[in-house]
Amino acid sequence: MPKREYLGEFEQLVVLALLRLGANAYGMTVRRELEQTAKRPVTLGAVYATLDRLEEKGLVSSWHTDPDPSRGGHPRRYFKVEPAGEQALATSREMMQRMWDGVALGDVGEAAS
Amino acid sequence: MRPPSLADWLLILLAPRRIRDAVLGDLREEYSRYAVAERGPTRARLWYWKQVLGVLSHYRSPLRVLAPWAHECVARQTGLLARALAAGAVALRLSRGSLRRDRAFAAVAVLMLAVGIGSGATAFTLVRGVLVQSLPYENPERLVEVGGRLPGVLGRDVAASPPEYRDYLLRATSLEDLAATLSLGATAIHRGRAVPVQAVLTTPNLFSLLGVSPAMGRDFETGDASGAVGDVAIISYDAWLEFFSGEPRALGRTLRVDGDQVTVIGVMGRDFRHPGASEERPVQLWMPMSVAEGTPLDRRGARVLTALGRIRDGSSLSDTRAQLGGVARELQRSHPEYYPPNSGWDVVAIPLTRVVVGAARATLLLFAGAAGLVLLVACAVVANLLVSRGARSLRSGERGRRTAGLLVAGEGFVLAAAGAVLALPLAWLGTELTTHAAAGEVPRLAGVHFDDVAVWYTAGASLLVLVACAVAPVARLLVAERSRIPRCGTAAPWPSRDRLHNALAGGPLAAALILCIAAGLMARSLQRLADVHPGFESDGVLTLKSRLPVPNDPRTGRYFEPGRRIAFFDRALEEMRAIPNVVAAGVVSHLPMRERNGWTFGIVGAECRPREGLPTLEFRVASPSYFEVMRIGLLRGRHLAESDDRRNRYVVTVNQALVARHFPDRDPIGQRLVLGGPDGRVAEIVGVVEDVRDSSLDADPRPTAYASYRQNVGAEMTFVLRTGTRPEESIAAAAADALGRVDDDVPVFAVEAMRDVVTRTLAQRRLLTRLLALLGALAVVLSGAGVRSAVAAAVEEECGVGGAHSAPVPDARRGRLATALRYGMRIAIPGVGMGMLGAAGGAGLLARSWPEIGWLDPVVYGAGAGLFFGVAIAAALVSVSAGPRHGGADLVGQLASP
Repeated sequence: MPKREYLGEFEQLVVLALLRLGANAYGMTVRRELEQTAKRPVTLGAVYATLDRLEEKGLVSSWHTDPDPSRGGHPRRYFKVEPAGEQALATSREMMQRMWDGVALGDVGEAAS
Repeated sequence: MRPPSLADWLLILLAPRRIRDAVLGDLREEYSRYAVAERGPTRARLWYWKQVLGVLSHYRSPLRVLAPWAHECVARQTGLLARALAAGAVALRLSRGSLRRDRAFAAVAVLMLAVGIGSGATAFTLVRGVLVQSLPYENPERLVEVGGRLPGVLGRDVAASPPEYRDYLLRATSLEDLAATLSLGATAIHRGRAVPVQAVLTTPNLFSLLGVSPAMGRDFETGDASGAVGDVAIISYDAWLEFFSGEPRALGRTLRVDGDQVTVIGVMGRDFRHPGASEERPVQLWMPMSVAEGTPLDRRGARVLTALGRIRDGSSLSDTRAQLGGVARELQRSHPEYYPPNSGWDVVAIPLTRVVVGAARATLLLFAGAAGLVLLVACAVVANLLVSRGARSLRSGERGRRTAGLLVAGEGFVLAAAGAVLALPLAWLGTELTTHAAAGEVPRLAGVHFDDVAVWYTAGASLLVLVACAVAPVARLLVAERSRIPRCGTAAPWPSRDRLHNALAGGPLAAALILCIAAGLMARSLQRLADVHPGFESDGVLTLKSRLPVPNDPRTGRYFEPGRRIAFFDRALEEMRAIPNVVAAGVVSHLPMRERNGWTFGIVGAECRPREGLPTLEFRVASPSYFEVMRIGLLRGRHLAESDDRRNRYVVTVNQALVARHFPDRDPIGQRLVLGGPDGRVAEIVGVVEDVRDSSLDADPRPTAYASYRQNVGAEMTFVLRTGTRPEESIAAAAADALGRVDDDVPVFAVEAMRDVVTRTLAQRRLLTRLLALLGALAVVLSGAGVRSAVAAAVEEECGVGGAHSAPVPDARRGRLATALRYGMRIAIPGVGMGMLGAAGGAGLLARSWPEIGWLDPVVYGAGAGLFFGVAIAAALVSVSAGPRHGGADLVGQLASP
């Protein structure tokens, strides 16, 4: 049985962004999705470093398009979540859920949520 | 808009290949699609840099690129390079420790260098953007303004009349083409409202000569100017937005300008600027005109045109100048009545960049020189501080010669590198602040931004600073160490005592003194000028301009008849006098200090004295009440009167300067002048009025003649209203309403308090004074810090750490104080001496642009010397009162302690 993968908090955000974006997931859109939906300012470098790490673990895969003149002749690198990636995300969520069970926060938590 | 190319270049060089292309594409896409629109151009560039640095920090910092190779070399310890790298690594390690221990010193030194590099980079950016960067036209280096120069005539340096323009076009074969333009105000009717517009009449070849074409529509064609002025127009991008709300269908639509229906045939691009037009009054409308023979202005004396030429490929500026010189001499022979011998007549070609930049050139170059001095001061002070630190660690026996040298080099390297990094935001801020503050005073400044080239400059300057801070102190330290005679218990002749060291410590003082004296001289001359009486009372006077419409065929205009123009101004003055709080109202054709109108003239019955050249005067048309509003006094005879109208003889009043020059021993009253060339009107002098400084506070009044508007009325006049209310502008709306009641098709514009008109004439001077004062203050702080550290080092060396030998405490303190003052003076005397000499040289340069500056003003030199002796004494006292820190540590560090 393969080792169960857990995702760090930022990795979870990146994988979720890929799933939300579907076929339109590439560096720029992922970065903007994190910034706009998760309200987390993030640099493109952090996004690519995380995606590279996830790809090395076989959790996501990527492929390049043809050079695009509207991008100064540079290609897009699209990303897709692999089944192992979805599994890892689910495992991470379950783990967090188990930890959250029975935890009640005061006003701070309510206000923050 | 392109992203910063330097950032792209860094990414290409340093990012791993597998992500490089995708990252570049993502950044490009987001930058052009979202970042500029969401953040604005400047913040978008910063955002781009942040993203690029973010990518590099995640993947590959430059240090990580270099590290494996450097480590290998160091590990092997072979060869010169390996030794050098090993030494560098040791130096960095040592300096990291020592600077961490002494963070205050590090912070102050970094700040000093950052301020020095940053002010240099700011000056570089401004000079490059305004003086060096080419104008946005095709091959701008080949564009020239061509014109006749007749000293004293017209308000500009050079100008051309239609016959002269045709002469230049025909005879100057080194010019590929020559366009003539005439700037004027006009009135457009937009949504039923009269709007003043800045217009340019031009020969149809202007845009093709500049090598630009309209962004929309077509350029002028020769047939467009078949009459004197064509009924088509090309409008600016802003005018397109204002009058047609940016609609593409504007082409072919008409605009009512000065009573004519004008068809829009083209719209210029957003960034196009008419050569030489001010940012405050950009040209909004171009209309084609003909300057062929027989057109209305076709008189040799009507020098109202600006001629722009393009030098032919293969010809040079000097060829053109030589040819034009020949044209000038020919004209002098063929038309001696217009160009008398010795009149100073010449035809010149001035590079367009010079014309556009004008007097701001001197201001910017002086600012750049001053910023360079601040950079030198910062480098010298930090280098001296480093030498002192190295010397102290050597003397205390804490470190050997080699280690001390390495420590100093490492510290210099780290400080210079950190200073360079901090200098970037400072330089960006300095550039933004200066361009915002002075955009109205320096042409082209509004378009200057801190860009990639400025970053490269900063990097280059930082390399020099690196040499100054890392290499020079080591050399100095080692030379000094070699000549040292160690004698325990005696005062060793350590660097702080030798003359060279004193001179080095005094150098920054001298440079700072030069800046302070230059700022002081400028400030004193400003103060003197503030006390100069302009010849009128500007306080409480509001000025506003208005212009009667003049159609292309003036005969069809409502105000073609002089009687109707006079009636308009009569009624307008009546309405304005009825405004509450308006004490008096007048009208004048050319407002002093804003507009000039040089004319040639002759004296009836006087012998022509050709050696004296052409007599010239400023000619102004005014209402009799103008003198009451401006409080210009009468000296002899009488003022212009309401009865001086078209039925009576033509009369003028003249000023004292005209009398002094042309009637020194005769009564001017009753004399007759021929105004405006040999065929001009004859006017009799009826009175002499006080002089008025007509061009600026720092220029002498020129001979002037005033005629009544009832005898010679134009279309464009400025109303002057004396009011008891402040600010004067508060009555502007009422004045505009009053004019609207007379005719709402006549717009009011250029509303300004007279006080502001006067103040603006000194804008360049005030700008330079402020910049010099700011840099001078920085230099004083830096050099004071340098003196304090040098004195502290000397005291520590001579009296020992804390002076706590066997001597009782008060005696030790007195001894330290005496030593400090002695060394302070040893540094200050040569420093102030060098500074005085340097300042005299620098002030000589200033006097080239501002001759009346009083460049040997003893008060300023005395005050400067006093200030710097004061700084030296204060620095000496502070160095003693602060005392050394525990363990004989760093005196210098306390410099930064609050």
